[in-house]
Amino acid sequence: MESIEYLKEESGFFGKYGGKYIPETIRPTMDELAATFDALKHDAVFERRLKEAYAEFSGRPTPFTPLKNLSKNLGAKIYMKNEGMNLTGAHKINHCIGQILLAQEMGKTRIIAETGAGQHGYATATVAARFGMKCTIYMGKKDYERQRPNVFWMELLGAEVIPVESGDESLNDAVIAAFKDLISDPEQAFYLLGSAVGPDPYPRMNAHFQSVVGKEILETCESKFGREPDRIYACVGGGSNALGAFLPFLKRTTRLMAIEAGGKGEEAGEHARRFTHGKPGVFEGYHGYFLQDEDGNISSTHSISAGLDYCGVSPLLSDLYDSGRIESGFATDEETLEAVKRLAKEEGLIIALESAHALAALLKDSDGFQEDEIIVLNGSGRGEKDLFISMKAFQPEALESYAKTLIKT
Amino acid sequence: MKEIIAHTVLGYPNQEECLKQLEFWNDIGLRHWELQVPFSHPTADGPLITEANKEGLENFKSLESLLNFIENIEARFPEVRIEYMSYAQKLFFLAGSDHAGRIKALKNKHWIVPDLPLDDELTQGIGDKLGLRFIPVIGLNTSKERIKILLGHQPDWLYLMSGFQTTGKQFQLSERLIDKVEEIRGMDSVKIGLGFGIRSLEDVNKAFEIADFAILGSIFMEKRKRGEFESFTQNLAGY
Repeated sequence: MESIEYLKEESGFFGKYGGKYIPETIRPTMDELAATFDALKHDAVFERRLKEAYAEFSGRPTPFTPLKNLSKNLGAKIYMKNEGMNLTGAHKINHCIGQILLAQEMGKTRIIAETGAGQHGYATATVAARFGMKCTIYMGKKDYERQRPNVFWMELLGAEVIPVESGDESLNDAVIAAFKDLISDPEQAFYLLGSAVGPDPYPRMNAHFQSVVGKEILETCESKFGREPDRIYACVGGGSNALGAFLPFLKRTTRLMAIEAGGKGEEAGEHARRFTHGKPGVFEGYHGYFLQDEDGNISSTHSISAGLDYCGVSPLLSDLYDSGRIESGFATDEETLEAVKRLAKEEGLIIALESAHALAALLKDSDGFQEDEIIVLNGSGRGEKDLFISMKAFQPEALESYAKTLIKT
Repeated sequence: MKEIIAHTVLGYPNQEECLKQLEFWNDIGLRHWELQVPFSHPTADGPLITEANKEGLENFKSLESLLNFIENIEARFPEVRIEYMSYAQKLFFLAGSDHAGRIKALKNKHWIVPDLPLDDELTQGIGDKLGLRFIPVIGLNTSKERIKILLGHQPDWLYLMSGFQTTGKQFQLSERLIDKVEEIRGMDSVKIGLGFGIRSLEDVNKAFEIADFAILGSIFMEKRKRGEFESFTQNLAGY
């Protein structure tokens, strides 16, 4: 893949953020991973294997879909990069393929992963099955219960899925459980981390594997319009999907809109707005923005979408936020659900709750759009996984009746 | 001289009981402690210590009251050597807070922070701001080159994890562990503390065959839950 200048830094620091704040027992594994990644990221054979897997297994390039009705109604040229058309239904497969190829190169035999919405776990279980490796997935118990269909698929793919009952039983606790597993088995296990967070090299490595998304957006816009888009909207959990879409545009004029989970309110524990309500901290191996209480403890978070329900944000995005290169926005649970409904009815597309945050923010900004503006929504995933959450929100009686019928039959 | 280092979490199971436990240790001559400053997400700890962190946090209304407790301990047990333990986020926060001066004023200066690498600029900044010295925590897979780097920071002693595990698992005097200790001894005269999984007097004696300190943590919590804390601890008197 073409190199992105921002990712050339191999120290693991982006401005003051990033680093490798980990116990010494997992340092050899991280050092070996960084060395393997740095040696192979531009290796012709490795790149060919990666491109082949993207194309033949995942189905890249993903569609760049004009949102015709929304464009007409909002007065701009609006497109969606449909990462939901990837195998397993989201962008997560991009870094899973990249990482499992590295795990193979390193001779690892076992894959560990954490998952929030289940999309990363599902994608990890998929590549582990494809590449013949044992797989253990940690999932906060709250997420395990609200994303049960993905748990089923992961298990069908041969993975062991472990619900984590500590803390607030969400993504953060799954990350900690996965790290603890790695501490216990550093020589055989490969931690296939699901976002652009964690100790170096994960942030820059996953951003590298995800940058295929932004490169495709740029190529399409240049061939279709002869220029780059005016704005890109992407949701931000850990940051892998947003970085993937943004990175090729850092030196261009495109406005990069990073949209977080506004949840159900402004109080601590009601949202996951790290940029505006968090502050720099050092946790889970990296220096970046984190939601914290007044004594420096990590705060609970909330979002209707498990993939955005996370306390920290990528060191790369933390740096880009401080420098003013990205702009932050948010959408509440309610606005997100409305956005899902609107896209379904107006465009025939059902997107993931995570991606719908970006759409909701786009809709809120639409008063300021110009007719000739090119706006790209990064649709990070499709919405089928959210069936029960969406049904509970839109048709609670129908869900209850369906559940009763299922139990009876 | 061989020593047991007795670990507990500050404020666990409550302030009063925590103080009584320290008093008991002091009375029987266990006078080298590792006191963990509770944190919301103790990444490298097993379930018992994780739970103790949660209870510890709940038992202090604020960081202010926790610092009062620590200062009281230092004043009450002036003969005891204390190493404090916590995680990177807590120290990073403290360094940037109004409490930095109080940490700097503590008599005991050594901290065990497993996720702060000694050779990192941010770590060094935190150390300078809070007036701390760090004890490195290494594993059986830590390379000779890496140990050399860590020893270059002249730590007071090295904390060696006995195996690949979080706290609370089984202790083994494995061949690999013995080799690692020999490797360190061949490099430097630094004292070595062995931790993770030491659960009995027998384990302590095994640890003393190769190390200077034996660190006991979650076993005290386990014994407390079974009502056997005092009888178990009494056996350790004289170490």
